[in-house]
Amino acid sequence: MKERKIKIKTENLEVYYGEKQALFDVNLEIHEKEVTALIGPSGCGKSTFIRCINRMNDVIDICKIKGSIEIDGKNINHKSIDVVRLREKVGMVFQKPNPFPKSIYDNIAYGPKIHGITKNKGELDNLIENSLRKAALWNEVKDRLHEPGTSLSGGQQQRLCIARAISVNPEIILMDEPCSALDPIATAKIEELIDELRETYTIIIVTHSMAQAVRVSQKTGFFHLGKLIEFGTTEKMFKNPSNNMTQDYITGRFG
Amino acid sequence: MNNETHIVKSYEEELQHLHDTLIQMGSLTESQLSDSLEAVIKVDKESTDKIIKSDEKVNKFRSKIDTQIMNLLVKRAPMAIDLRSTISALKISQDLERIGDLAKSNAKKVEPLPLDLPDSLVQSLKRLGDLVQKQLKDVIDSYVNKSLDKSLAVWKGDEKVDDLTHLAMNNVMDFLSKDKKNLAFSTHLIFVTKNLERAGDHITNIAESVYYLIKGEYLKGHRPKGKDTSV
Amino acid sequence: MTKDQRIKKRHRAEARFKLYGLLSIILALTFVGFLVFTIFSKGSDAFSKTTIKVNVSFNAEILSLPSNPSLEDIQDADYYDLALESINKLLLTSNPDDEKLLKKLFSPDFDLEIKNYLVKNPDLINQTQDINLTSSDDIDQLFKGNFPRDIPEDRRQVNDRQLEIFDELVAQDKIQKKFNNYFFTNGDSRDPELAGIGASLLGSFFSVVICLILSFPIAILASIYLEEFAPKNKITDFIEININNLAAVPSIVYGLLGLGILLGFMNFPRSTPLVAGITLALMTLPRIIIPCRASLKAVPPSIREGALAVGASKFQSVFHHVVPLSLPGTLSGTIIGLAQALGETAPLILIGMVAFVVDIPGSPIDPASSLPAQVYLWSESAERGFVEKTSATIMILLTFLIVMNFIAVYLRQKFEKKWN
Repeated sequence: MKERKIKIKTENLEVYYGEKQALFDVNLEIHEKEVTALIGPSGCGKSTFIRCINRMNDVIDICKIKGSIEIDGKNINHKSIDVVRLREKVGMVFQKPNPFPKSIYDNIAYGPKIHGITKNKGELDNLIENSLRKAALWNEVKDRLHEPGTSLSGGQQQRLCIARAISVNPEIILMDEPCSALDPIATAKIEELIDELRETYTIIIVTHSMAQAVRVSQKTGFFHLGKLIEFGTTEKMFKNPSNNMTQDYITGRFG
Repeated sequence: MNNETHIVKSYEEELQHLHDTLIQMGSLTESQLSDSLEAVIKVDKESTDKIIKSDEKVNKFRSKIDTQIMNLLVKRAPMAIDLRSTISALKISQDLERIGDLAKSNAKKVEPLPLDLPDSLVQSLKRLGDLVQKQLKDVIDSYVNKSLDKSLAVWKGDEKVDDLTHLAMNNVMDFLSKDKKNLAFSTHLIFVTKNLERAGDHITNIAESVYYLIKGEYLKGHRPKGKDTSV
Repeated sequence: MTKDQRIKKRHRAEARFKLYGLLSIILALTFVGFLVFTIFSKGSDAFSKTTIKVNVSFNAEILSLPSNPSLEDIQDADYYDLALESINKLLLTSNPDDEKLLKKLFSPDFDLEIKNYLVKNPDLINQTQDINLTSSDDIDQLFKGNFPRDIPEDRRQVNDRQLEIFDELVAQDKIQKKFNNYFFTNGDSRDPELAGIGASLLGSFFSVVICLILSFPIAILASIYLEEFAPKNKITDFIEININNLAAVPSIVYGLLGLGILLGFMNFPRSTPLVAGITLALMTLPRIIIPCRASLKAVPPSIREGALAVGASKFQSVFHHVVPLSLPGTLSGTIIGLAQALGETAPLILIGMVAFVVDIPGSPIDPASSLPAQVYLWSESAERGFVEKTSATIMILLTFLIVMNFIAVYLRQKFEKKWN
């Protein structure tokens, strides 16, 4: 099977929070339109890693980045890159669903409005419907678009956040443990959704659940104490990992 | 392969228990095979009842192992080495059960045999039987010791089994051709020979499972085949 | 102690605590009730004034009006003689002493009242009309029953003869209580019957409005900048400590500031709501900044991250998401700050708002008084009539404060509902 094009590439990536180093020499290639899972024990740096991709670490003053991160061949930390445009291209879904305290409609409309994506209300309405359909939420909320986003259940809120991320037409979606606050059925719906989304978007998902990584991803990276220990196809990683540390982690021999 | 034990002790114990049960099944199968072979060689009609009854125990082991594996899959969603261990245990237990069945079948064939079988025939059967026994012992050892080399050797050794089967078959054919009265006996002896050959095949299966368990890859290449035994 | 005994002890302690709480509330409510009752009972009288019905004949001759007089002529005429003539009709006596006493029954503005009546109804020239003229302060108190009649004459404001006339007029049903419009329309006066809170009410109103216009935007923008945009270093820490301290500075110090800089250095007009507004704004700034910053801090970071992740700039995430969520707390803080500003007296004393202001201010740069200052001034006066007026002013002040606090609660609930 021909390998897909490389979408994101990090070289010698190092991240420091003040004096403390959180990521050590991470070299990773993420291919487009597939799901890459990042696993590893708590505090191993996976969340730090994905927050570098959309430069969310910029808001933390003491965070310093060395090395390069390239998306489509361009270094995203270069002075010429507008971080606002970057975040239009790289969306993020957080661990705890965080819809804006506005109506469902306004939640999704916000991004397109500030980026000036649509020209009139008709286009905006269409965009919102499309985003909600793609997030498998449209049928559940189409009759109550003006109710507050916070009135939905946890699983629906998370799908709302996914729809919100999609509304600005990104190319990459970052998901930081998106199902950890959800019940099994909501989780299953989101996993189903991820399967559909990967036809259009490049997805990176941080997860604590090995089984979820296996179900959902095509490639997996194992992080430990800030280092990327192993990276490869999910199938190999979970049937026959090359590194003993990886094996010890996924079989529950250490955590 | 691993220095660490599982964080969850009960998981560790379950895997160990599976391993131990499999080894016990292997031992029982070994003794069934050797006992049935001895019964054939010595035409010992007294011992066959015991052997036939003992096959029950082999089947019980099989069920026990099946249950353990189901529980492991449901509870633990095993990964990597643990996954391979579990699936291999499933396959190995299947093959062991089949070997046990073949041993029982051989024991059943002793009853109608005459006491004055030609020596050369008996010897060729003995050589074949000894080899198969050795293969079984070696393959179980390779599982216990997780020895890649040993499992490979067993896998390659199937060639010799085929050769010895061919030889034994020829002897049986000779015996048949000498006297038409020997037809009934010969038929039984053909079955006994064939059973031993098939036991050899199952042992080769086990060798492949052990290889996959240790290496994480499937054995490449065709099984080495001896002379064609389809007479 | 057994487990049962221990549990019983705990339950009893809880019940006792609840009882203490309840008793405290009852005690507090009792005090509040007592306060309200005292003030209302004293102050309610101020809303009515005693009037004496007088039959006035608008004789053009006495007024020296030309035939077909213009409005200007009517306004320029002297009404004193006409007024005297009218009130003398009440008693039908030619005793000059009586006449003097009779005049004392009325407020000093009695001729003005007659003039105003004619100015409003100029077609009454050469007609007669019954007019209710405001009585004097003594008669007012007498009619309201605040005046002890049984003390010796030389210790009374009203002598026996006056009492006689009064009783007779009461019998003739010429004395009535009417709504005291002077209380709201007039400025301060030496005569209690004419005194009103007009000047101080408008003065307070202008002051608070100016205070709001100046302090609210500056405070909000300062809070947003300090909380969201300013770099976290020693300088901003220093600023934060200072703002917290400024909120605790006694308000009279702000008065000194106003006196020194606004009046002294910049020569602003003294005793005006403009100066008062600026001074109060300076005082209220930290009192708005502190709750506003607390509200901003309380907005969960997940909202900010959510906005940033969708591609909002820092500015957009703050103004579109964080600020609206912090509005309930900010508004509460603002209105409480304003309510405090409304009731401040000390700084206003220093900038001169305790002057005796008669004219109603037309704009914030006219001299004015303020409600709390008015309470202070009147509480020092000797006349009986001022007692009720002081209490009435306190009632008005309290009403404003309660209304403002209700608005704060309402706005808070309204915005909280919207965002939740």
